[in-house]
Amino acid sequence: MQRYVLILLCSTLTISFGVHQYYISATKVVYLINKNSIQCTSRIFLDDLQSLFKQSHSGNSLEVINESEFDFFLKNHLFENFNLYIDQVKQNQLYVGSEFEDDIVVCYFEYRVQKSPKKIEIRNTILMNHIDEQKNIVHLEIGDFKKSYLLTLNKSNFFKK
Amino acid sequence: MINLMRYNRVLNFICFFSFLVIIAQDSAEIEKGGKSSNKFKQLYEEFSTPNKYRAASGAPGEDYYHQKVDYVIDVELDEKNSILYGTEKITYTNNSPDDLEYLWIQLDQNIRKKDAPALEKNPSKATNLKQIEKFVDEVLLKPFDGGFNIEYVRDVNGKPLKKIINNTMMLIDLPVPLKSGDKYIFSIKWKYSINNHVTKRGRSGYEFFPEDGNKAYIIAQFFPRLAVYNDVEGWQNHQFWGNGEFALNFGDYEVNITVPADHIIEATGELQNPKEVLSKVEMNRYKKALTSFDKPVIIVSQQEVEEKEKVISEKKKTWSFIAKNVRDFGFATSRKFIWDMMAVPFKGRNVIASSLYPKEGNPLWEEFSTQVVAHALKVYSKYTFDYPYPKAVSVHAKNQGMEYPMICWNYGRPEKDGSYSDRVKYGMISVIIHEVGHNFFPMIVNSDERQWGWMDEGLDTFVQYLTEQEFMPNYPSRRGSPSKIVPYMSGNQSFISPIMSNPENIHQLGPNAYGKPATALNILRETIMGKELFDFAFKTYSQRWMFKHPTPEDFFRTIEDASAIDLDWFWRGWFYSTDFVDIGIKNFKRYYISSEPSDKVDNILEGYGISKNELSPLVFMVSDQDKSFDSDLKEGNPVDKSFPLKQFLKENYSDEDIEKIKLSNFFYEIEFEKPGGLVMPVIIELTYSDGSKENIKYPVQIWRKNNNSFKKLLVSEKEIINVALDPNKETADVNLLNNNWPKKEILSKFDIYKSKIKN
Repeated sequence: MQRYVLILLCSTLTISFGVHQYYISATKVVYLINKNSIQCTSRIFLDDLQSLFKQSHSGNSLEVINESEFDFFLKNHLFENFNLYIDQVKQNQLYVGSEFEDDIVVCYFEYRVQKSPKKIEIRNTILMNHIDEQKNIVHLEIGDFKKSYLLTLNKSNFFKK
Repeated sequence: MINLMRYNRVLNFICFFSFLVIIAQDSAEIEKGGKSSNKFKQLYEEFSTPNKYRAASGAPGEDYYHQKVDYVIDVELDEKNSILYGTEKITYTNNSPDDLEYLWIQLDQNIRKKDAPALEKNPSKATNLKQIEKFVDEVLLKPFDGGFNIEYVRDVNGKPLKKIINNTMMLIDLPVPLKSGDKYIFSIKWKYSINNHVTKRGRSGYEFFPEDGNKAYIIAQFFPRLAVYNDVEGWQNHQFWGNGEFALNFGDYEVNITVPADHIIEATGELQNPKEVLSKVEMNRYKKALTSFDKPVIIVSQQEVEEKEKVISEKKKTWSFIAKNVRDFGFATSRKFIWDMMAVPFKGRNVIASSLYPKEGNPLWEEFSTQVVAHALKVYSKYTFDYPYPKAVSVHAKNQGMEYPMICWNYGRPEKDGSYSDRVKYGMISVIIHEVGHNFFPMIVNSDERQWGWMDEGLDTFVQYLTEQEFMPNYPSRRGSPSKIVPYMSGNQSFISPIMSNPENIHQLGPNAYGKPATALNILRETIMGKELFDFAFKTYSQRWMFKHPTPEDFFRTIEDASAIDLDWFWRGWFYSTDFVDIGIKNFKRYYISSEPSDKVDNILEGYGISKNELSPLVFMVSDQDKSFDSDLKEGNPVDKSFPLKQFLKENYSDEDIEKIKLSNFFYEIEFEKPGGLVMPVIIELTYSDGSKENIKYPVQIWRKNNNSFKKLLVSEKEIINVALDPNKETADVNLLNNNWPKKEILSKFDIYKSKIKN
């Protein structure tokens, strides 16, 4: 879908329909202690991914490539840009898959956790190297603890002890 | 006597036992007074007092007025330099009871002046890396220098008028105040440079097509327009900062547009001189289209356009349009435009539906656009009023979605090879429905967009949802159904504002002004009011305020006035707060009739020093969660368990009636909790042991005296094995983990997806 995103320096007009206002993604990170698992669900605007894909794949749009090619692209992007450290050790990201939801791509990936961590660090640069206004929200849930973090290119990580 | 009094005291004591304990605990601290935070408190503090302009019923009051502003405009396009030259004669009619010392004129183009404050309204920062095009555009190139160049403002005799320009507003100081009821005629001459709307954004401008060197223009906010003066704001001269759209007056327009002779134009209003501007062939097709009801007639074809693209005409033509009772005027012009048109019948008259699109929009546009326009007009008319204007046009512009009276710009472009995905197709159909729908809100029901974005966007998105669902079953609507608003409403509160906020000052305009109000109205219609009452009230609002200027209160009041449903709690929660819905099942107990009182009753009696023998006949009930619960109670006929009850029945009822009573064997107490701030009706689905189901709906008023929890006794003839709260997900409940008894493990999206791919 040729839907372009806003916030250009010269014109801050919003148009009246359908264009999302911000470069933004949201990732829900849930630490399930009894399952020894950290489940991550990322929601990313399709057209933002599309414009990145176009740039790196000489003009092909996502609409015309096959699903496995897209999945591979997405898997790589998440692997490079979403990192989880437990007690300063980078954890192995297990990519589960992705699905479309209207104009959003929902991505699923997981980390296996063996011992209870003292410190968790999350570094999320999804789309940031492509879009400098990109903001990534991380909703962290550990049992009853719930907190949201807003990450930008200047501050793309946070710690939770 | 003494015995009876004592008995009553004990009975009272038992009934209020738990209540008294709570009071006793709380009284340890001295309570402070405060204002009412009751969710059902009426909105007197938020609403202004009704008056003669706006009635308490939500209808226009007996002294309701609005100003009328008529325009005669001549514009000429310099295509080579993309400059628009214009002169206009304005006739301003002061229908207000006030004398006006000055007039305010809106200069929206001034937001594109190179030194406009709006360019600096957001923070910016240096970054380590940036896209090349953006770096060049934003950092290296100087800002685009647009904005109105006002050559003169003159009175009817040609004498210059004193003017003061404040950013996007221009004051005209009248030599003598304009009396109530009088007219004032004056004229303005201006020019401005047109921006490229693809790179510079904005709601109007041109798209440049490098392959053939042509441009397609979508032109709006192109002339100085009168600001609104009314009973609510005085002059609505809040500056144009970019997000808050427009507040505009109704009036009659005569607009003459001079463009290169090979251009095709569509605009607000009826074309006055088709014979002068169209070729003979085009004219014949145009006439045919006026009575083509089943499918559009192509007036200018793709093949013809491809030929026209190669040569640029040096000649000029002037197209004339007249529009009655509109609040604005827009037009689109290019030699690249393919044009198709059809007629839509409306009780004894035909409305024209038409589309303009460059070949880059095909094959998608030829197939869908005009048909979607016709569909939108029909469905919106059904829910509001018959579309009163003579035409509606959809123009394809690469990444625009923007509305003007009778004309709108819409996105949805196929790939270069003509292929397109479902996403592009439905995106295009949705945006056309939405923008055509804006004819109803705010073009005709003329709300103030500068102040209240939701009044047109929210109402339009709501009817858009209905129109999409009527376009085809299970249409993939992006907004409207309750579950779609849950991520927004359950999100980080620091990025959420109440719907009743100015569009300039909020974080997420899309869900705030479009999605949430549309969902709220959908919930009102489906769950709270019912379709018949809601549709009647919504239509009443539309018809009361058709060709008038409503405020939010006029909407809120009318919906209640036409339905006899007090909705102050709903407006307060959904429109004035950022609360969300979370209602849950806290406890569920089965009760049994017993000959003996439960341990709880025993404790009370003991505390009072009363023996059981002193009590008059009572029915005792014991729950399966009480300490004194004995599983023997499960067996046998419940009536047999209580001698006083059996005795009472025998004395007062026939054997036949008693037989019936025996069937009701199942007593339950269900307790609900409400962690969320919003009050909503409580809908539960009971599943019985034989597999049958029953739905119960408790009115929202159940929360009026206790905002946190309540209990209900359920008496049933069959065993209840499952209770589900909001089983059809119609209330936008953000937390489904507490919605079932027995507690059901709700699979997260993650788990659902994972199990799906495993299979």
